[in-house]
Amino acid sequence: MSKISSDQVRSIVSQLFKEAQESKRGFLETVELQINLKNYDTKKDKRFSGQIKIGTVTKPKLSVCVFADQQHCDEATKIGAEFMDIEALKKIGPKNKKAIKKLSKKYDAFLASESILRQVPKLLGPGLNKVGKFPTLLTHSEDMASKINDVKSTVKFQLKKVLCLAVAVGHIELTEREVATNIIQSINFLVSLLKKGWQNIKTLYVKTSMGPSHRVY
Amino acid sequence: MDQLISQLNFKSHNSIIHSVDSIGDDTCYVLDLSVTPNLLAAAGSNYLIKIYDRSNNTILNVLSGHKDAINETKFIENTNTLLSCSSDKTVKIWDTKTGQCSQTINQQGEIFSIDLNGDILAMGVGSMVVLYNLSTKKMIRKFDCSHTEDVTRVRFHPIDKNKLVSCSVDGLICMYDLEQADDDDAIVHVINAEDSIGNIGFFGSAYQYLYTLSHTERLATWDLTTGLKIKHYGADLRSTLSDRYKFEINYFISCIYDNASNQLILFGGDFNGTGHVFLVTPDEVIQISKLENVHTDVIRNVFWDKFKSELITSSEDSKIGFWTNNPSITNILKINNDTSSNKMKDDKLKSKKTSPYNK
Repeated sequence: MSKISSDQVRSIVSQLFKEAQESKRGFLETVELQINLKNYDTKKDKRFSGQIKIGTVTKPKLSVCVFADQQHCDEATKIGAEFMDIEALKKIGPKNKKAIKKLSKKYDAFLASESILRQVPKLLGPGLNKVGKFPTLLTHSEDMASKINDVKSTVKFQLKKVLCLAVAVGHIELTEREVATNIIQSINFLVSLLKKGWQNIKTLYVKTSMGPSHRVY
Repeated sequence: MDQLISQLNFKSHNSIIHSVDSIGDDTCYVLDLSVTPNLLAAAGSNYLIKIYDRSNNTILNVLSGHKDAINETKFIENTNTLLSCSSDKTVKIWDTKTGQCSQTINQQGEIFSIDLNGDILAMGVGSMVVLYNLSTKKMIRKFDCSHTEDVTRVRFHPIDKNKLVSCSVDGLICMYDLEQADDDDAIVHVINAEDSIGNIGFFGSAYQYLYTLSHTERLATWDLTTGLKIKHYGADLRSTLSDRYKFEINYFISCIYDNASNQLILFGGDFNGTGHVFLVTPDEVIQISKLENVHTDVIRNVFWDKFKSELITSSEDSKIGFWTNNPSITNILKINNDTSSNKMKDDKLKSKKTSPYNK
């Protein structure tokens, strides 16, 4: 079914890495998958957006804060995760827009224990909705560290009015194999959502933030 | 339960071609469907809404006026008045008897969804939820900070009409208590579904639960009294079902709640037009029946008229399918198929001659 071979992807990825090594930048470069669609009408075909969880952490620097109940406070202390308990949240108060904004800027994502998540709209108002950082549920049966990693390895994609979209599938400090796997995994998932499958794909490119782009398909 | 399963064993009894003004691959999709006991309104991707008489499936009127994709249509209960919302940033109110548009409500963004509670119209306008009073023709209030992306559905609670639920591409589902005057306080629950949500609906004996379908074809259920997740049916429900039942499932259409049996029914399909009917249990999704040999492309809508034991489907192949679980009706209704499509050909085509269905 797949139109691209993993060998092909792997050789492109190794070239990407070589180029990135040659001209080192002052930041961690992201590996991006760019997709151009065809035979797709944004006016009438189904919406094409969502999230993909990929195998490896793609956003290592993402800062996550846990709104924690007692049990999660203990767990967070143990693994060194940043957290706030309910008292700290109450202190901010739903009308203190400035402090809520400050909090929402300080972290990239939030997790919350079940009992606290329910109260977040009351405790903090819609401030976190507004910036697209409403907390994700963390249950007691989940391991906090792996849940934080899940958040860090989830990538979003969204097709708007133009027929191209990009997905951040990794960065250059992962291994070549990991990046190649992420690329193939993402492509296969996206193609499965398309009515005509590969016939909806015009071109596929991968590139690093600053490097040249390489055509995969 | 057995009764429900036999009710869900649909057989095709008729289908009509909604529009033949398609050019080449540019088929006119049937994007939305609204039904009353007598009328059927179908919105095409050619920005036209056609009103059919359900007794004989003939066209009563064509509503033209929208300038961009029509996203949802809705009849005002027990009337012949239809509301439609569109990406042209308007909601139009139509008298389906005369075919005239009686009012156009202009908004600032694309309108993806509408719902009605008496005179109150709820609209998903871009990333905002706007409430509008149809009798005073004034905006009541708007929620502009609950979502960051396009609001894909707004729904009033079927019993507690002061509760409104909205869902969005940003992955959040918000429940509002409209009795609360302060906008911030009015948001009673926020659910982070972690995926771009395309469709929602209420179910349960007191409609206390919500199902969500994402744009990535994932199904989840939620408890609205607590705002917590009941069950997520897996990141790749499509392939789980495809593997188990040995047929392809490419997408899900929507769910319908049957209150007589207290069951949630899920509709899905493949890209070649076969539909599948599933039962959603607390633990898993079970296949019940198939909808075969009518559609040739993605099915976009299903409507179940239990009273007339009829299921109506609409698809991207430009067809509207009629299904029944009552075998005695199956053969009687094989009429009008050709006459209705010919009539439309005269209506729409005049001199242009294309035959997109002779593949």
